[in-house]
Amino acid sequence: MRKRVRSGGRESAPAATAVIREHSAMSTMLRFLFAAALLGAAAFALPATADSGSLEVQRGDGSHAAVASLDTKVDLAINGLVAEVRVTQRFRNDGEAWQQGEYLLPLPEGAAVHALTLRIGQRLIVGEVREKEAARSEFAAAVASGRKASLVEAHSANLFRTVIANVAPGESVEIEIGYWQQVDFRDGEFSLVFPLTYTPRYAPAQTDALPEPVSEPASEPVSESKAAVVETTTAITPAAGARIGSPTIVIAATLDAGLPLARVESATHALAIRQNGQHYAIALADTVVAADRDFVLRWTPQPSATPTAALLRERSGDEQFALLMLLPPTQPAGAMPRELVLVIDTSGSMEGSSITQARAALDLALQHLTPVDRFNVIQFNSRTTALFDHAVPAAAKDVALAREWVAGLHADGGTEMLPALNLALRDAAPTGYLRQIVFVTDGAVEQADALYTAIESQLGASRLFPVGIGSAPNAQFLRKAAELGRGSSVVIRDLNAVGESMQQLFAKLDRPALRDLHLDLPVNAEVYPQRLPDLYHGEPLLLIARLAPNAVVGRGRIEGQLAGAPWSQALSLDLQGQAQGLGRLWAQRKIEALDDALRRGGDETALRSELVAVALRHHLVSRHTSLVAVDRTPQRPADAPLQTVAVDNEAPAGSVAFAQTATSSRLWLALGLLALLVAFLLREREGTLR
Amino acid sequence: MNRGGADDIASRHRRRAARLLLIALAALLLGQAGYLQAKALLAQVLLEHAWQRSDAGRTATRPWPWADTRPVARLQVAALDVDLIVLAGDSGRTLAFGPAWNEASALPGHAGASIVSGHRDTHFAFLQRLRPGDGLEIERAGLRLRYRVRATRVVDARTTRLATGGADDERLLLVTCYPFDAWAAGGPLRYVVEAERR
Repeated sequence: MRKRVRSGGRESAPAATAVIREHSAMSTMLRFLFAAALLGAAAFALPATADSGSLEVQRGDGSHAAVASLDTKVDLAINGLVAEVRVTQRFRNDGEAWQQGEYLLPLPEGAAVHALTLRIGQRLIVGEVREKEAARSEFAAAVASGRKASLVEAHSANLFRTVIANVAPGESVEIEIGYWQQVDFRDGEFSLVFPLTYTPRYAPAQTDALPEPVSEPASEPVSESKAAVVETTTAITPAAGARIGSPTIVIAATLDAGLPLARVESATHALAIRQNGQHYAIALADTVVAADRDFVLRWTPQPSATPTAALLRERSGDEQFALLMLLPPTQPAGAMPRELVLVIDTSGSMEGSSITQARAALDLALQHLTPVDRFNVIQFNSRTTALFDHAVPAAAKDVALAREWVAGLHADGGTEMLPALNLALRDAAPTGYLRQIVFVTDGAVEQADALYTAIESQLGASRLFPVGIGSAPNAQFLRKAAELGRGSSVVIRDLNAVGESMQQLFAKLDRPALRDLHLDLPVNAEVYPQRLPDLYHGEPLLLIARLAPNAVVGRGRIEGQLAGAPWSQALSLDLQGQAQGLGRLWAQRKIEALDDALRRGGDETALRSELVAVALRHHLVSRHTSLVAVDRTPQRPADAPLQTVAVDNEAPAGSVAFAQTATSSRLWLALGLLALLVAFLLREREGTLR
Repeated sequence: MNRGGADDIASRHRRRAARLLLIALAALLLGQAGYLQAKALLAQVLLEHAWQRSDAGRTATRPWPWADTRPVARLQVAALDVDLIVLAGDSGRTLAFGPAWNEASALPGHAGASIVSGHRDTHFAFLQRLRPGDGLEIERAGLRLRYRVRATRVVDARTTRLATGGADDERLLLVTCYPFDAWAAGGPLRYVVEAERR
C-alpha cells in the first residue's frame, strides 16, 4: 500500500509527494481530511503571476550587457505658485552600431513644454517649435542625412513622444526638456506631481485613428514611413510592460514657498531635506528609484500663514500676465438631502490594488449616507450595470445590499465609460435634493472627447465628482471631467490613503459650493478659465490672465452665490510679486481652451491656425506643434550604411519585460489524478479489510 | 463480535466519506485543468471567426463583445500543423485565449523585433519542437511574411528585457515559459525562439 502510493506520487512535485507519503502512514479520517485540505491549499496557493523585475537590455547573442541606457534626472525649481522643471535624459549607446532611441515621456497635466536642448559633448543645440508636420519632415531629413536630431511631440493629453536619432557607438547624448507647471493648492496644502509612469489608455473598438507614432528607422525613405504610420494607427497605446524611461531616475527639487512652512513631505517617496531659512533643497532619500509610481511633493504653511489671496505678475515684451489666487471663506450649512449616484470602473485596467481601493472608497461613501438621502450604484466595464433601475431612498437594508454588491465586484473587460456616464446623468433628483455623481475610475480612456461632450450636454443640475484611483491615474481626464461636471476631483494613490481622500471628498459633498461666480476687473483682461468653476470647501480660485500691457491695476470684485444667498468679495490687484513662466502658463491654458472649442465643433481652420499662432508665439508644444532640434554637421559617415546598423544594432531605449507565459493546468491535472488514485486505493484497501 | 462489527461499519463510513471528498477534490482540480485547456482551444475557434470578420487583421474586430483585445495576425508552422490567431496585448487575460503580440514591439512586417508570447502548456507547447532553420509564416493585413528560425535560447526574465526596436531587419521573437515540463506557473525562465524574415 505504502509503496504503491509513493510510486503514484513519484511523478508529482516533491511537496505533493511528501504530503502523500506522510498521509499514507496515517489511518483516521481526520488525517485524510487534513491531507486533502493541504493538497487543496498547496494547489491554490501557487503564484498566478511572475515577478515583474526586469532591468537589463539584452543583446542579440544572448549576453546580458546593456546595449543602450537611458538615465533620467528631474530638477524641480518651485517658486511660490509656479514651478520650472527640467527633465534631463542621457541616452548612451553601448553597442557597436548607430542607434535611434524613442520613448514616451509622461508630464504633469497642464505642463507648458517650451524647451528642448540637445547636448553632445561640449556642444549645445537648442530646439525650435515648428508646426507638427514641418517638425517631422525637418527631423526625417536630418536623420536621413546622418545628422543628430531630436523631436518632442504631443502624443496624447499629457504624454509626450521623444525621439533621438544618429547616436554613434559609445557616445552619450543628453536631451533636456523644460516646462512650466502651476502648483496645486487645496485644503490648506500645496502639492506638485511628477508622473513617473502612466496608465495605458483603453481605446474603444469603433473609434478613429489614434495619434500615430512618428519615428521610423533612419534608412526608410520618408514616403515609406508615411505608409507605416497609417498601418499602425489601430494599435492601442503601448502595453503595460513598456516602461517609460529607464529604471534610473533621480529627482531633485528646490522649494521657495514664500511662506513659513509647517512641513514638507511626500506620501509616495522618502525624502532627504535640507532647510536654509525659507529655502528647502529636496532630494530622494534613495537616490535612484524605480519608475513605478508618481512622485508627489506636498508642503503645508504654518496655520497662521495660510494664504487667502495672492497676485503675481510677469511682464514679457509688450504683454503682461497675472496669476491670481483667492481662497474664499467657506461656511458649514445645514445638511441638505442628496441623491448620490456612485459609479465604479470595473474594467480590466483596474485589476489588482486599484479595484480594492475603489471598493473601499465606495464602501465609505455608502456608509456616509443618511436615511434622508437617496442613492444608486452603477458599475461599468464593457457593459454597464446599475444596482437599482432608479435611485432609491437610503434605507438601511438597501444600503447593506449595495455594500454587499460592491464588495463582490471584480475587474475585467474593456472600459466603455460613455454608457455608464449617460446612465448616471440621465435621471434628475426630486426637488429639494442635491444630485451628486461620484465617479471612481483610473481614467484609462483614450477617446475622452465624447465623454466631455456627454458631461457638458447632459449635466443639468447634477454635479460630477471624479475620484482617481491607482498609482498613475489620468490626471488630465479627472480635472477636465470635474471642471465640466462643475464638481471637484480627488485622487487616491494607495490603499492607506482611501480614508483620508474620501474625507476630503465628503467635506466637499457636504458643504454648499460657491457658485455662479463672476469677476469684475477694472482693466481689459483675457482670463482663464473662461467660465469660473464652482468652488468647494478648501478650494481656491486660481486665475491666469493676460492684462493690457500698461494696465494700472486697482481693485476688482468677485461675486457669486453661497448657500442660496448673494456673496461678494473685493480683490486687491496690487502687485505682490514677480513670477516667471506666467506667459507660457497662460498660453497653455489658451491652447487648451482652443482645443475645447475644436472639440465642441468650432471652425476647424480658424481655431487651428489661432492655436498654432499662440503655440509658436509662446514657443510651446501642442497637438499641432512640436519641438525639433537638429545638428548642423553630419556625423554618421555616408559610407557607414545603415544595413551595418541592422546587423548588431540591438536596442535603443524601449525594451519590454516578459509576459507570464504558463498556466498551472499540468499541476491541476496531476494533483487531480493523484486524488483520484488515493480514492481508488482507499477503496481497494477497504476491500481487503472486508 | 457485535462491537467489532459496529466499529467496522463506522470506520467504513468514515472511509467512504474520505473517498467522496477526494473524488470531489479530484473533480475540482481536473475541472480547473480542463477549463484552462478548453478555454485555450475554444477561444481559437471564436478567434478564427473574428479573424475572418476583421478582414485578416485590417480592421479591429473584437472576437467577443466583452473582449479587451483583437486579433492582429495569424501564425502558421506547416511542418508542425500549427495554425494560431495572434491577439493584441500580452496580458495574462489575453494569453489564456491565444498567443499575443506585445503592443510595444514592432508589428510583424515592420523593422524591429515583433514579440509574440504564448502559454507553454497550450498554444506555444510546439516551440520546443522548433529547430534553427525551420520555417514560420505570419499572415497580417493580406501579407504573407515568411521567417526562418535563427536561434533558440533560455533567458531569465528577472534580469533580462527584450529589445524592441532600433534595427532595420525584421525579427520575430516567440516567447514562452521554460522549462516546458514544469508543474506550476510563475517561474523566472523564458524560452525565446528568434526568427528572421526571409
